[in-house]
Amino acid sequence: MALTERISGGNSWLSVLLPVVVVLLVLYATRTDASEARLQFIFHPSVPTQSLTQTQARQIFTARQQHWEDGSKIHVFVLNTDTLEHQRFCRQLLQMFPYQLERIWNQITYSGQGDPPHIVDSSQALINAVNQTPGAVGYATDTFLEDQQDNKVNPL
Amino acid sequence: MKRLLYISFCALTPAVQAGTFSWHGYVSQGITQSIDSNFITDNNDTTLNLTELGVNARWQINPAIALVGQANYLDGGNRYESGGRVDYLFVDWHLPRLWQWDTHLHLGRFKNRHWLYSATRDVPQTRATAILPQSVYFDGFRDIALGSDGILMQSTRSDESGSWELNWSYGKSPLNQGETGAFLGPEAQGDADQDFVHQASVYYQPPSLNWRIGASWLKSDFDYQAAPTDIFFDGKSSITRLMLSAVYFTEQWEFSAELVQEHRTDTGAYAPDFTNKRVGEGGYVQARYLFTPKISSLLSFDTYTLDRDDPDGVGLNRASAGLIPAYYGYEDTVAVGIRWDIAPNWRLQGEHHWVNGAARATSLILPQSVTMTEKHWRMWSVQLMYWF
Repeated sequence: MALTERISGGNSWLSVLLPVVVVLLVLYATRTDASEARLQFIFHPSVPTQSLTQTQARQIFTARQQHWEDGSKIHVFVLNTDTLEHQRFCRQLLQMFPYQLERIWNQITYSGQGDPPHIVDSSQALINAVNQTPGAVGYATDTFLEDQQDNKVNPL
Repeated sequence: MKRLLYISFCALTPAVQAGTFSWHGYVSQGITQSIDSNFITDNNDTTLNLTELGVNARWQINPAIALVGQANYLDGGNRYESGGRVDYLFVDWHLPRLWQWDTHLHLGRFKNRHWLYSATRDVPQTRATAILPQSVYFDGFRDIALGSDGILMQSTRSDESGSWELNWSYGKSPLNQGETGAFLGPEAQGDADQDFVHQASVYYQPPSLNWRIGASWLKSDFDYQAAPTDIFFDGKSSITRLMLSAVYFTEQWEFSAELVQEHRTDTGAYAPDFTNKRVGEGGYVQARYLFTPKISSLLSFDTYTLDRDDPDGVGLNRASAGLIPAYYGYEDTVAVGIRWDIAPNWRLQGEHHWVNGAARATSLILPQSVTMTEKHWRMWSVQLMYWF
């Protein structure tokens, strides 16, 4: 007797539903969700530092610090705010809610205190932008960076 | 479109070509109505008098000096004088860091940074509602409260113990005819001037960033010079405002509150020997719930008493020989709202306010203006906004 028949007593709906549930569970257990990957800051090689404390990161990504210690302009790149990766970046590396960060950007931008980050459409575009822009900082997942063996971006 | 405008601007402005120039803007149009009050519209009309357009620019001359400005066009119905204005235009001077304090000096027409929403109250996508709680953000004195011509100093310090922000400013604002009328009535023919406005505030936010609290102080004097044929006399007003502000963030909830106490002394104006002292009190609490990152709702309660010694307005009614209804001595408002971010940089926002009282509907003293607001009245708006 098949497993589905023992459980359902021969009901056909369960014989259809159970395999679907099993498949979904397997997919969930084996998923390679990008959101699980560790996020890290990435810098253009010209940036005088290649690491950030949480306080420094908050200052830079909220546009309160707009120049590096050597006086060069900071260019911040982020993904679209509704992407899972950006939201995980806010929570993991800045430890703030995404809507808090977006609100600060608006306040800074429209009260004349600075500029919001440059928003790009994909992780690849973000890495390319950081790689090509002196003074740039952004973020990427370590798994994505591992796939970029020949990129010129310096991870943290 | 932004690219086209940018290219046009580049052709006109050599500074842009140095790559140190940036600009942003916003466009917003709404539909609105006030019912049983002329606070927004006359005769209970539903109108499109809810337009907000703005363009700002920042020219970073060197790492320490930037020139920034914003021009906007605002139409809020009867709430304030519609038209274009220079919202801010100042030199932003970043002083050398001292004892871990970062300090900026703003010289010129600077923004009021002392209250939770004051720096961007004219930018639709930064506000919780189109009509902010009137206890604190009284639209009758909108332009005065937005900023001033003078100097502002802002110092911030962030470390593992949290973030501190200190603000100090001194300046004055030109008063338009509408604001003169808000003081004395639309029949005022003379000139009202703000002698000065002196403000200071302090804010603290812990490392968790879950909450932020602050306190602010304001002192301002106004002067009225009567016209030769004026029904008013020369006069002075002095206002001292104390405020407490707090905001609390969670994953799906945001709570904010501000309490205000205003000490006002009026001399002259209504009669050569007229003197009046009163202490107004009020504040608001509001909660926003995020159903999703794109959809949220809002509930708020706002209350204001014109004179804390006359909370039900009976004294006001008696002093005016019955011409001014008692409900002009207070104003309580319950508001609900909903917000939908329909696409990146696009937002649709709607709100409805139920109001009891008229203390902030208008501060006009003349009785023929008083009859324009009933004791119980409502207002609503739906606003579509885009920013870039």
